[in-house]
Amino acid sequence: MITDYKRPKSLQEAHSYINDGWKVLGGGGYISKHQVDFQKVIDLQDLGLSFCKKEKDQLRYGAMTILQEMVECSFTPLELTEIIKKEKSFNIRNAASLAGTLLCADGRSDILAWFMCTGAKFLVNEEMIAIIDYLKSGKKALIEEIQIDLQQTIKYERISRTPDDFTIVGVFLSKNLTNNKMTMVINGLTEKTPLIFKDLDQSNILTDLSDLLKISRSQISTKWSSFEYQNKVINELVSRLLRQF
Amino acid sequence: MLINITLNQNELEWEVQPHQTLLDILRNKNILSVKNGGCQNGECGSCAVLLDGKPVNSCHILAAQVDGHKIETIEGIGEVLDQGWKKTKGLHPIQIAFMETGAIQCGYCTPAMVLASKHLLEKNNNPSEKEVRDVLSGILCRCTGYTKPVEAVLRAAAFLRGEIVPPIEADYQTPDSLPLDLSQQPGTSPTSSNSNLTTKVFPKISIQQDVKKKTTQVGKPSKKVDAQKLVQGKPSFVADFVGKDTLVAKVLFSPVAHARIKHIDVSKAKALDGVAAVLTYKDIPRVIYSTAGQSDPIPGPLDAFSLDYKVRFVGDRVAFVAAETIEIANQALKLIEVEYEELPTILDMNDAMKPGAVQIHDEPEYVNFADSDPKKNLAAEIRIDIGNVEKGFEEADFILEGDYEVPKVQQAHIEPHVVLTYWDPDDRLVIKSSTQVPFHVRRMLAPVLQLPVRRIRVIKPRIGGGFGGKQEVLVEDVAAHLTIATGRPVIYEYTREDEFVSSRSRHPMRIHLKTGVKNDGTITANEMYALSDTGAYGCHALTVTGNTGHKSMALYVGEGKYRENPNIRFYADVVYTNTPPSGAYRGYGVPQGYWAVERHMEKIARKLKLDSIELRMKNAIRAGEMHPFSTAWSEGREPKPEIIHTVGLEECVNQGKAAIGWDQKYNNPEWRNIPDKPYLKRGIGIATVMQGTAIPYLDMGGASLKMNDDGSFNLLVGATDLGTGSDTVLAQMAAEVLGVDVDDVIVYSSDTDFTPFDVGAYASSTTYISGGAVIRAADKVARRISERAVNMLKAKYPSMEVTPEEIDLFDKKAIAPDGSFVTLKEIALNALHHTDQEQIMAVGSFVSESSPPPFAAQFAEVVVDTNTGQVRVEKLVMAVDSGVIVNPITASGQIEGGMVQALGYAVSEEMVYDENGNAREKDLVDYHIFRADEMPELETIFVQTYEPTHPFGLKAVAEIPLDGVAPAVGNAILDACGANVDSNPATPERVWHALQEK
Repeated sequence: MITDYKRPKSLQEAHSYINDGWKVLGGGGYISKHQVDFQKVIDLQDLGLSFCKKEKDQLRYGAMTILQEMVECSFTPLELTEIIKKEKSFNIRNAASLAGTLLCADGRSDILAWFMCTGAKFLVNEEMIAIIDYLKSGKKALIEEIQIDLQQTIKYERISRTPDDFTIVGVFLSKNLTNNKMTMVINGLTEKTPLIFKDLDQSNILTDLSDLLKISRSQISTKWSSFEYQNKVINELVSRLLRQF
Repeated sequence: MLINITLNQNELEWEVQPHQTLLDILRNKNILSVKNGGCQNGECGSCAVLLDGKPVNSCHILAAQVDGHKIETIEGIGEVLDQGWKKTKGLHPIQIAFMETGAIQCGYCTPAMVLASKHLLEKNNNPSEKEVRDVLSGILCRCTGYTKPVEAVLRAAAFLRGEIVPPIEADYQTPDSLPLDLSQQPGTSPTSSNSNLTTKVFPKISIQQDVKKKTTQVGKPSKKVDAQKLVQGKPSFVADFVGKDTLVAKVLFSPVAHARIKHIDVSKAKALDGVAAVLTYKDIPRVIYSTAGQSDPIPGPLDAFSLDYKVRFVGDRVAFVAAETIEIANQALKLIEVEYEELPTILDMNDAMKPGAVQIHDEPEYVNFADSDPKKNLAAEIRIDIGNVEKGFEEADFILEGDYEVPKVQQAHIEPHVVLTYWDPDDRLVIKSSTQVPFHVRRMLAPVLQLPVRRIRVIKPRIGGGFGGKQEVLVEDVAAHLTIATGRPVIYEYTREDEFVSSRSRHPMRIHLKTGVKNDGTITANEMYALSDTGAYGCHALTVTGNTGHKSMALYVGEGKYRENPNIRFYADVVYTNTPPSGAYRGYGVPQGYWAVERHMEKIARKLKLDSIELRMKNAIRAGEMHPFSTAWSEGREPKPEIIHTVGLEECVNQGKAAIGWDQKYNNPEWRNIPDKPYLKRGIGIATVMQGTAIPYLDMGGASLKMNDDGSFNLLVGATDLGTGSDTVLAQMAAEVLGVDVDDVIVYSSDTDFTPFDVGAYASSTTYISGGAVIRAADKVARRISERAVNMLKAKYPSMEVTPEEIDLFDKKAIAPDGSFVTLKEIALNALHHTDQEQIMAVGSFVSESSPPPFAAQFAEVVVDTNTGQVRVEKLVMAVDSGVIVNPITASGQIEGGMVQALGYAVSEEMVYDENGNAREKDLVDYHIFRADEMPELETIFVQTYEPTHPFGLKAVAEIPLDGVAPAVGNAILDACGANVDSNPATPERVWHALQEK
């Protein structure tokens, strides 16, 4: 149960709390419901970490930017706006922070899949860390912002029972415009983090797909769809997406 | 810690604990419009407040986070203008629009919807429908289908833009002129206004049969009688009445699917500071009963105990705890030590009757009903033979057999099960419960609690949705036992997870159909076998499954000699398994049957290359024919013949076809194909259905009506309005008979101490049965008023010759044929104060000899992704024959909301269990219900017949929208891509598999 709550007035103060084991409260949605795991929390709402900026080929969101602010930000790519709206209903979008959303997302999340596919990075202690690396590292550092390289094209397809229902199978493909390499993220299959495959050659993706899924099989859940269905449908979705590049 | 907030423009300083959510604090501070029961997990939105003007879920935010911020709740938005000598600024235009448009059904989510709308309209007073739906996406509504809330927001926006919008009832304000010619489609021709607004809240109504009498209140879109309190968020629901000294109850649920409790030690839990009581099976009387809220005798086995030494599903009860706070209660649950002796389980209904299967109910107290047999794990057995099915099959040119399956699904009412119990000063136990069946609760719990009925009082305040889930006596005994144990008030409220793991739900079934057909499409015999899974207890086992056959197998009787003597067989076995019990859910067995029957009819039509609509109409039952089951079965009682007097089905089909553009789309490849997306195919489908209206010779409703000094009336009914608007239509009927406005009828429902008996709200009975009682009471009161009016008129005009029969009650007056009159107020004052003083009042009761079926044609339009199986439903049209429509707004609200619940059954909703009996769906994320921003287009049409068995010619409307959507969607998928999906919901993977099997 939460026993202490603080609102630091500076990043320095926030860092010192974190070093003392305090946890960061994002929008509050996750921690307020999982209080067994948390005792001391800091609320970053006074640190000015809520912003949406475009600088050259970079899109920058403050860690505390709430999802609805992203939806309303003219720099936010249209497909990301659509994804956020489908995954998070209006009330949640008005409270949930971007960093908190990404850290608490599960393997079904389209929002997390989109950010992973773009190769988005967290700014942590003046260091840029790819989201997937941060999630794998298990770090508990203070995320200040999220940066996205706009020099890429991203397309996605998702399958769900209803338009706003969670994703059963989703495929996100991005192409880096500088080296033409592709990144593929598959969501809906895993409990925790979507599957990511990087540095793919467009011409080989379909032929390699079966092997990529086989090596990931230990992470794949059949709670919501069978492996047979996942395989066939991912193939179909990837084919559709490749035709768009 | 101290926080400073501005709450509804008042600057406040509050002491809060770091762990407390904003919701906790607001409820503690008596801000009761913010609902705490919906989910407490940020999923439903019923706890929404405006934080700095934006809607957020207060359960998802710590109170500490709002320090320095501005909070708005509905309490600060607007209130009723006229408060005696005090006048307020009045209700907010959004609140008014919600009341006018019928956007309020149960009202549990209404304050949240109003707040979200306020946020939108303050930013943008000319929003698109899409923008409105996006903002409302944060609030789940299980009642309305969102159509009318969206219209309410658009209407309020016009007000706020300064437009003079037309009155909502512009097209309906034609007193004394019903039947209304509604071919011009109400709502589309606003009278004097400067607005282009069209508020689309009225259904189309096609007059099939003229009504027999002119009406002024019946047929009018009257505002709901309870809308005003709900739109202000006034304390209305059970959880709003909790006093400070109330204990909180929690139940320890079983983690195993089948076991005996070898040992249970509650000593540590009892020793925990703040725990008032811990009860196990050892502490309370062992009384066997059924939790199904039904009339006496319960038509099912008695197989449940409040607490038992055995558990039969994951989620079954093990122990009750009452504590000072919810946190202490939850902590106490963890301190209860239980040793289980695990037993073999039955998780698949097919295994229940296999030789050697474990016996789930081996308790010696088990009481059979009809053919139940616990040794075979059989909760009920149904064997109905009508005509000669074998001969019918022999005479058929073609026989089609098919297997179909339907899943367990949840009612998902947004207000969970909740009850508050306490002793009153006279040592009577008060049970304040969100129940559909207050009188059954009182009767059924008396032996369980070892109290006489006269020492129990059940009060039903507002119900936040029920849909059959609250036809169960599910939580009342828990709180009552704990109040008896502690002497203190106890509140017990299910969490959303409790609803999924421990409540009741719709029976899953496996259905085999065999139909004999002539080459011309005449059905010669029809046979259904249903294997129905009642779960761990047999509540509603017989009656739900009986209804599956009784309604779905009665629609198609055949043609010619087969029509005269149909050949129908319906057999069913209802078996126990170690899964959460099934029970009552709106539709009550009928949606299961129609999934099979209507999918099957489509296959027959395609196999014989017949027009599927013509096939249906050729074989469908017609007016004047006998309900084929009426002489064969009556829920274990003696059957009696019933003639079906009104069948508007053919006109429903015609109206529905026109509305969805059937002739332009069906078999049209140009329409079916989508340019540049060859893998997407459009399809269109139909299902025709019938329901029932109450249970004949059994369901009884009572009403009492009392005249007040000013000519107003108190109408007391035992009926329970779950949000359907039944209180309103009952008031309309009383007002019609008494010649007054609906506002002159003050409805109170229900309280077992004060209101007359009523079986409760189920079986689509309230408007018909309780309405019948209201009319009888009103007729008696009207007669007495007329008699007094004659005396008063004669005293005034000694030469006048007039009889009570000649008095017309209209416009709050008793009017003689020559136009002279006395007002009802004068009559009331005369009766209460002046001459031969008496209280004018009467009681009426009504039980029906028939169950006149409503009929409907349901149409669906879909797009199928033929490579992935993903289905998107684009449009639903339902044309319904419910007899005379008492209130077009509330009735169409029933259809819209029902269609959306049924849409979940069609494409997404199901409850699945793992190999240990654990539920996969435990929240409203995994169990997705439709949001406002993902809805298909909905259209409701009423085909108005005049049912002669009711004084106002009406039939039921509440359940029939649940029946046809799933099969219509299934048939549309078949039409789109040739895939036969025989198990619902039509998830992408199921459709994909069906595509592979083509």
